[in-house]
Amino acid sequence: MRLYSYLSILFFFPLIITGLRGQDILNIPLSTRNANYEIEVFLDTRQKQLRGREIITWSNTDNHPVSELRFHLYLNAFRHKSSSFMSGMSRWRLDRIEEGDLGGIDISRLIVNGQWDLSDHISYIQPDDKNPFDSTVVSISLPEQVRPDRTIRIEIEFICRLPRLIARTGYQDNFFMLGQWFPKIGVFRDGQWNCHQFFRHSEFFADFGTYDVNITLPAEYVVGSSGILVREEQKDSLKLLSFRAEDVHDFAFTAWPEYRQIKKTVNAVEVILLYAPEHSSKVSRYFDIIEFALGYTANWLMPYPYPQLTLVDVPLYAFEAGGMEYPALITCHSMWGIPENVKWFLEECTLHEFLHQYFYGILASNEAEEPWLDEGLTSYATKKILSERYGRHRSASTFLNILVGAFDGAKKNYMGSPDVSITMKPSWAFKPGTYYVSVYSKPMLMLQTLENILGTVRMDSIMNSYIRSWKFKHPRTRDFLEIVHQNSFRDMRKFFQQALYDSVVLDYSVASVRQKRDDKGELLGTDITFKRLGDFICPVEIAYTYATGQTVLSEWSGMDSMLVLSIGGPDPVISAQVDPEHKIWLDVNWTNNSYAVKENPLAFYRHWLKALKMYQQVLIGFFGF
Amino acid sequence: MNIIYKALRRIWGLRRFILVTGAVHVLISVCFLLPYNKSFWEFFSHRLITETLASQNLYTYYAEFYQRMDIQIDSTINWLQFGIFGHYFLMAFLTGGIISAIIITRDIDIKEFFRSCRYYSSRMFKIALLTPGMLIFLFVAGVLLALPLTFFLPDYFSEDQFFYFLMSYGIVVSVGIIWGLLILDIVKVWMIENNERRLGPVLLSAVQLFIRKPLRFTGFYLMMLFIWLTFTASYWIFQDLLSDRSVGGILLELLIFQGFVFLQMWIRYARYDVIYQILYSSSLIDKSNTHQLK
Repeated sequence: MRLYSYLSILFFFPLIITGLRGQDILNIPLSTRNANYEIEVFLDTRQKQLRGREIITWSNTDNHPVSELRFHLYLNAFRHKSSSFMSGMSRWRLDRIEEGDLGGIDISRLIVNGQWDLSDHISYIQPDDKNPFDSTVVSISLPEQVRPDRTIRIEIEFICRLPRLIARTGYQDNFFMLGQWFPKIGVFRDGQWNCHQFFRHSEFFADFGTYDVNITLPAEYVVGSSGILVREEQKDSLKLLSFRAEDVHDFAFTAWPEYRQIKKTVNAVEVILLYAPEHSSKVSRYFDIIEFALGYTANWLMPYPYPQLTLVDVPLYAFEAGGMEYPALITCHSMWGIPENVKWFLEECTLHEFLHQYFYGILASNEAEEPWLDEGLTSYATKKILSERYGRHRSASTFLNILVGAFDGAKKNYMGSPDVSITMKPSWAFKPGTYYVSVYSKPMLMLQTLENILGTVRMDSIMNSYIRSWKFKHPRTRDFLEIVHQNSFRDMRKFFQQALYDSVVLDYSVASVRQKRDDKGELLGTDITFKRLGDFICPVEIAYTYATGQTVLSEWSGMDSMLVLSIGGPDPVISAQVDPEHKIWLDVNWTNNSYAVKENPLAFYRHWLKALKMYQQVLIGFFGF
Repeated sequence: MNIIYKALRRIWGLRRFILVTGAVHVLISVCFLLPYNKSFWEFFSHRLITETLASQNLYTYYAEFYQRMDIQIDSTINWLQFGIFGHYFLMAFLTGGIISAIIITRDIDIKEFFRSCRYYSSRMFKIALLTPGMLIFLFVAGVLLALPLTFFLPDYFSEDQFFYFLMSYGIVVSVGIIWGLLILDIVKVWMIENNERRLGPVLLSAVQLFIRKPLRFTGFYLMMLFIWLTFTASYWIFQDLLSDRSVGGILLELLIFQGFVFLQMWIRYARYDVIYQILYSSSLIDKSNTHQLK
């Protein structure tokens, strides 16, 4: 077997060495392209290994010289059960991983500028948690500094032992999903390396560049990748596929003999859907949502910049590979029997991963240090587009005549534990069970609230300015907030201070509406009491309605914890509302946002009867003896 | 089918007692929902969102309401859960009287019905306590017994294979639970029929009886289950047609629902008569043992 593998590499390497670099795809570079990779790799599908060599051409774009290099070896997160990544997994999940399921990556040779063999100078470091079992970051001291604007060439030979599918990486039988599989240089900025260890929730951060990747593997495999196929050759039972990707910061690929493939051109983008044969009935749903998304984002944000997008629908037995974003390649979920009216599974997952092409792909924020910036923005955009496509109240699902909107799940999730954690924390600092609420749910509700406060036109201009100002760069939270500041014409600093850097809770309510009468029963006026029950202060609309039907709308700063409005005159006020249009999605309790003087006993009876019916049925059905 | 027809007809003859049972059931349901009245009143009578909910069932508002309406008795249990326990044991108490009325061929009055309930109550409570444990045991046993099915699942399965496997697995586990419920029902009938107090020997006898006619017992039991599920599902599917927002409409819906509850109880209690008929028709019970109350 080994002989077969090495022979295959020997057969293809001459091809690789002579023609590794592909033709340019884009006429003008979109990014700095300071981390360029030429990779040749053999996927040994029997040994579950990748053996390869890469040449990294890296330029120092910072103002400071570099005296050491740092690389991510993400695959080593799966080398040891005590690695920083696996320490963050649940005990239940860890117990189900056998030693043989683990994987890892080793660098066998590292040469810089063709003259310095630094293979023996590689040391594992743990800059974030000092965990000695973690080997996801390596440091190599350089004999000479790399001065600003200088370029070096790093040649690395490496061997990857693939793990059984975990965190969207590895193999399951003959299915392969290869993400974060090659030694990847960190980002050098502000005079230091930004190269974090790989944690359970931390994702990635890298410089833009070009990727010329040659993959050799058995001929029967169907492959999808982040790059465009520029050459394909077959010799006996093996084939060589050459891919090129430009202005991206990662390269992933998947291989499985059973994939079916459909290509369709949408908005000048070639969409390739690789799907499991048993999901053929879902093909139209994938294209429906992706066509809508490509069109919507072209207007809302910017046109999708790459000529190709690959959607990977994973088979059920490789379910763990689904729901992940890589440049120009996303993995999605589907399942037999998912009804058309359930959108939160196939459609939402596909849309979410696609939108990461913008908030991660094009806006390459630091996912490890500021995870909300990609996940929060992506989640907000996902829910917004789902609402546009399927309607605000039915964009997640409709079941038994109950309408569930795209944002509803996030609100339910958030109101269960609104003060669990602050959002602005590095991904590895979140306690178990707090990450999703803080990084996904709360930011998406915060952004939807912001849109409702500023208006859709201004919010759209914020998103548009953000992407146009920071495309193919590394924006930070402060950059996004600066864009908000410039485009909103309102001081939203306090809003973000509370929403991102604090865990205070927002809850406005109408406590009472009291009509004052004199001894004769003549109406003197009405006292309306509004209360701020949480510590989150946010200007909010308040409204009260007279018996004549006239509604008066005004704004309350919310600075005091209570506001008593005394309305004089003989006209009776019959109801009052705070945030009448429910714009403030961060409000953890909308049920107390209104108060009507006139009782509505019919509504009470109707809903009480509903509850009684359900309770009775449960009692008879399950506890009837 | 004749057995089922006879059973339904016979239980219809006991409608007075089913009405009593139904009344107790309604009383418990109402009593344990009453503590939530204030929450319902504040939200649905004084909040403007009710107007929106009148035309659309919006999940998010219901989710918020149910999150905030909860009233805990202590940290482990709320009123609705407490009502479940109360209902379960009161139904156990009344079931003794119903089964007794099925077995006694002559007419009995309401006094005698309650005497029977009281007389068999300790036995029924024993079974009520045994039931959850037994069902958990059977569920676990079903899961374990179905494990050999995994032999048919390839290491790397396609989705179709997985769903066929899952369905087969579910059927095996469900059959285990249904058999458990059936055996417990045989125990109830057997204990009353033979005026037996010891649970252990009766449980053993019930298993033996079941083993002697497994297909007949299972077939009729499943048929009764099917009739009840179909009837129940039909109501819930078509219930929207009954909704009306006037006071009269609400009262009518309430009445219709209570009628539906009564019919559900009628179908559910008929299963005891089906079991009793199978036991008799198969000569599984010694007919010379006359049923008498002490």
